[in-house]
Amino acid sequence: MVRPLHLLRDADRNRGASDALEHRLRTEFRQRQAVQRRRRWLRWTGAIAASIIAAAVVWQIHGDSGHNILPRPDVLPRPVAALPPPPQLKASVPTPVLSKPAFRASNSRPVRKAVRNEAVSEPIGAAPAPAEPEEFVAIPYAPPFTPTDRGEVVRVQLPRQAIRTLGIPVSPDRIFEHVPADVLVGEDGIPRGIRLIRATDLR
Amino acid sequence: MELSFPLVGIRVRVNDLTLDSDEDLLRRSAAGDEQAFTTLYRRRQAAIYRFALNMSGREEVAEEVTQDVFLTLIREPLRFDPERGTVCSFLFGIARNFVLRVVERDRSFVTMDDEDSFAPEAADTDVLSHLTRNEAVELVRQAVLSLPTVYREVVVLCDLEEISYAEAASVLGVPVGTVRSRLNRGRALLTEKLRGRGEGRNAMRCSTW
Repeated sequence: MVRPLHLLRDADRNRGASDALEHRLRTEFRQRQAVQRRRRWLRWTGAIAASIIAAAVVWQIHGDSGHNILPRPDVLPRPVAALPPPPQLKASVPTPVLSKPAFRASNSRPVRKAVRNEAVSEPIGAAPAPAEPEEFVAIPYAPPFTPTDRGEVVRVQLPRQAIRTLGIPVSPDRIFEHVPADVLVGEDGIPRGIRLIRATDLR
Repeated sequence: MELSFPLVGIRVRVNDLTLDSDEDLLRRSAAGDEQAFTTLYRRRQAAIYRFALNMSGREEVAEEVTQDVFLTLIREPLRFDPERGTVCSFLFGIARNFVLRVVERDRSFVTMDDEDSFAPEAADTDVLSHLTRNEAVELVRQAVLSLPTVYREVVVLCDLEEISYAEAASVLGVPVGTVRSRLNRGRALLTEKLRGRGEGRNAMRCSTW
């Protein structure tokens, strides 16, 4: 049986796909490589941009709390209070309650509300309503902060651009302005949460 | 590729990709080396083309399948797992899937004989001695095409493309023993078909003369 098959095999020995197919495949290979190079470049650029933003936020927070880098005459960065152990904390400073970041849980109303209220001008002569303390918004990827942990609340001026990284909508017209905020810094020096301050609270 | 001559203490770096293994070429191709891809294509395209041709019987299908196989290699080079077989069997495996899809689509193209009516006889009978070479080639091709798919693929892989039983088993996803038994049965079926066709052709010739 093998002999007839060898006949067929020998007859087909020089058969193969056309040269045009090789040309098409090489063109496809080149295009594919170009696309992959572009994707790789975008991925790296995105990663670098994200790192720069994250570094800027951390630098801003630490810079304000430690070295007074962004001094403003009206709201100077100053520690509000060192957090005592939880039972005593209730009396002086409200226990920081970390809520999920706004971009993860869209129902984190307090933070969004704070930003919206800031943009609305108050009617002249109206008595300011007593402000309730806002919840802290957990900083993404920071270690979790439990009520038994100790930390420090630091008031800083955050650029609106940095707030956007928390998923809070920011008006593009005011992107370079600063917003007062309380940053909850753990004992290890890592910021865990951010609480935006209403304009009314400052008064 | 690196050639070493330990007796004289010489190691030579050869820039000839044709000496590299399929695995090396595929790895370099995946890393974006077009020359490696071209070398691998030129080395393997004919076998893939012939496999598809002998499985489908149509040149346009063979061309299409060859294209699809190497496009898969371009788009998903990491699909290859060296632990599951060689690059050659990987390529044949992709080609087989594409061919079976085409054969399934055009089932009417290949006429299948009733397998149950098969009665094995002694193989290796010289049934083609009185036919011209071209006629014989076409006769064998048609006989191969008329085999049921499970036998056709082992005959094409092992007898026509001469890949090892182990590689064929890897391509087909069956044990080596199954490859052997299918090959025996496929060859016997082929002998039977060739005998019938050869006798028919001979009778026709006699009547013409």
